[in-house]
Amino acid sequence: MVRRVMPVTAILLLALAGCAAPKQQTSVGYVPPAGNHKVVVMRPDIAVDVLTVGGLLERREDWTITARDNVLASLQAQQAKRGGQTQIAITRESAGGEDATVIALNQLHQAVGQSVMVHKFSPIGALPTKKDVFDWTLGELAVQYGAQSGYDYAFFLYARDSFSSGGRAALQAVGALGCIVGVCVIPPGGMQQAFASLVELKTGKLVWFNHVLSSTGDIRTQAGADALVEKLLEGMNPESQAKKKKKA
Amino acid sequence: MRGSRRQFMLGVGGCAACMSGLTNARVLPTDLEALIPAGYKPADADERGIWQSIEQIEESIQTSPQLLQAPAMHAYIRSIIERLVGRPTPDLRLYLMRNSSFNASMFPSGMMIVHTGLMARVRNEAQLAAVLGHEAGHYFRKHSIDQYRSIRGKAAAMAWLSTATSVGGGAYAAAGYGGAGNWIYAASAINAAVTMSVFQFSRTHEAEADAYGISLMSRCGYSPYAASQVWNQLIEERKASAAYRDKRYKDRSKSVLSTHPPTEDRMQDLADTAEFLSARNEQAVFDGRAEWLAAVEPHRAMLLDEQVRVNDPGASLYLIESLAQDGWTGLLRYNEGEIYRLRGEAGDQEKAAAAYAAAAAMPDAPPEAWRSHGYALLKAGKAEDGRVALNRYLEMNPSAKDAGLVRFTLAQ
Amino acid sequence: MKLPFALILVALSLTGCMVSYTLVPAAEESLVGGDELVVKPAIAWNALPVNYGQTKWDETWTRNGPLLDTVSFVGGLPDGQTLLKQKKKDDQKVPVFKADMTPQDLVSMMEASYRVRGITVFEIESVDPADFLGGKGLKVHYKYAPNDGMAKKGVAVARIVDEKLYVIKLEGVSSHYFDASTPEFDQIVASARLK
Repeated sequence: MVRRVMPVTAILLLALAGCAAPKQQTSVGYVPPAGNHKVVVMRPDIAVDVLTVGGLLERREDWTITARDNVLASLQAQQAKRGGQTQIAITRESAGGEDATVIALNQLHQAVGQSVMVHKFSPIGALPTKKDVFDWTLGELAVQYGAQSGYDYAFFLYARDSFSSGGRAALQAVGALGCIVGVCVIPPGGMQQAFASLVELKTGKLVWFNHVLSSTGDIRTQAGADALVEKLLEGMNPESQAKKKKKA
Repeated sequence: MRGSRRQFMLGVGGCAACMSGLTNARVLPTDLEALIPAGYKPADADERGIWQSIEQIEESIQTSPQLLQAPAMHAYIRSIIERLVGRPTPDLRLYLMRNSSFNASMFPSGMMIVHTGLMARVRNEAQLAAVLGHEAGHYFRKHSIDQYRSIRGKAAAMAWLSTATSVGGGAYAAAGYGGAGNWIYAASAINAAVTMSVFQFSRTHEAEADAYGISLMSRCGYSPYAASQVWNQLIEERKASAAYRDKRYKDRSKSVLSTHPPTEDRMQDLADTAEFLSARNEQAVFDGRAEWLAAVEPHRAMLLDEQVRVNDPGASLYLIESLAQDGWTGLLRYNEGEIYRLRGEAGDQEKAAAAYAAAAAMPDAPPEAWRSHGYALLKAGKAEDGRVALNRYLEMNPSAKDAGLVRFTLAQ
Repeated sequence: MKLPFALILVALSLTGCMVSYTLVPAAEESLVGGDELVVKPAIAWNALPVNYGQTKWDETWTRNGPLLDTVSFVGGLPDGQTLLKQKKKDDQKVPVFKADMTPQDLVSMMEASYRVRGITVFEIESVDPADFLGGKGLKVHYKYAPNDGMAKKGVAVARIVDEKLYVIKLEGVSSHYFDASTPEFDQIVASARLK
């Protein structure tokens, strides 16, 4: 008899290995911003943790700072290619608008972003009324912020990454070997999860949303951050939109 | 105020007098020096990571709807802390939070949270100082960091799914996906929570914190007995709560209010230390009852309301009755009535009605007492008296939130 | 410490132990919270899977996800029952529903169902009489702050009919989502009838 001890995330990862990658979501009639438009990149919510042998996640400050810097640099490079003017709000203050509005807007986006995650990227979270429809909004608060700050679009990014400490990698190796003799303990090695959304401030609507979940990738390196940002933002490019249209 | 990293600059000297002769206490106050000196910065990766998570939590607290804005009370509590540590504390950030549980937490980054549930239960300034001093003990001796390290050492593949006693878990849950900066999780996870739960801190840590706290208090002339009084009150309250439920009193560490029964040794240590210190002190000890009552008076109605509305009748009655030792007031009778009304057992309707009637006879009865009194009279079939009472309610509070419904009731 | 909600949901889906959301069609009558209360929404909604701890008289719908907006129903709670399932040994209890409750008792009971779940900031904004199920019930506007997540607004309409309690309630994030569903809530309440 094989005894399995599988933390929830391990189940998740193993299953995802067999699943298609989640699609990105766009609102009906979405046209990627091109030409003259002002985008503010809200202070990204990024953190990197280390997974200890005991299975705890600990925040690593140095990794987090590096990851934030890398992701911001990737975003800057990406946006430079796109035209328009992009302001990357390093601090809450540089996002413009009123402080209270920005705080509330970020909170609202977290709630809406989580809802999109659950109801669009999970098979059992699917809302029947939203089948083939993507119509979440940040409402009047976003419109207000747009008027206060003068931006046309707001871009939000959330990322969490975690890595094994050396000890855990060793444990994983041992665990995998154990499967052969019938005692399978596969602690997960750490995981990357990110979502990004674009909000049209004229209407408050989320016009574009994407989500990445993977067990590889490392945003502590610039290349890793570039890869994540590229994966996240791929559908936002006019070129890839054109490609999709061709296929249809 | 941006939550940038601050140092909690403190240096506390030990008790000047020697403690020779006190042999039965496990940890002598003089054994303790502050491990957190002035100008402290986090020493290693563990601490830095924790501080960073706490920054996010602090940011969310500043805009939290649970934050209580009470400048006078805030200044009062801060002055007690400063008296305890013997110097001004400009880098300490103190937050009063609306939460009915008995708790105060001190975070390694110099942020302190005091719950309204604590304010509802302490009976004098010395008791408040005892709690704050105990917290300071956990902080200065870096217990929360130690605790975290010891948890981390335990091999458990499922550890990260466990309760919020793990520091990393608390920080992650707080700063991560579930909503940035959930201070409740963090307060019970990272903190030096005032519970006697051995589950959170080892016996050695608790003994250290007790000793440290008492030495701070005693130095300032507070009665050293206040510490054991606070614990006793909590225990009696929990017993009253359990007695109502008819279940054996036992610890459920998930609930901060359910304190772990203190070991005999520990209570003995507290008592011994208190006796020793008071024998040594020639100066009169100070319990600061009048000062505390003056500070808490403007908040009393809100604090009682918060306690009563969670509907734990055994605990709430204990609280009301201990406050009533100074004499019943209209506010207390009204809340007594509310407890019975919400409890709703056989005979409670009558008890509630009697309490409301008593409240209405007192000069300080709040308008709500008249409302409850009116409804109770109507229920008892005394329509005319009920109407009079409800009208009185509307007169006292014409813009009452439920005026619409009360008027409708009167029109029936 | 809780794993991110989304991950748990996805993982559980793979074990097949959770039922998903079901469609509530627009402009059709639906039985809610049992077999007595009937409502007719103007737009389509999503009915939540049954929650652990829910009573059989409880049903909840959402448009954009329960974090953002919900309409809930209590379809005839009998005298002597509670709004939430609780264990006998719980410290903090929701009051038991009694058919002779005053309006104040009803409001206290509804408030308690939030307080026992740890919500400390809860404010009643207004209580007024309101038409419901062919008679006069009460309508409560309130707001509260969950310990994590955003501040919410709520409106509930309640009435005791034949010793049973019927409630329809709308809750939503204060920013945008509550207001967006208010017209639909009014429509649902107006359409409500007992079989």
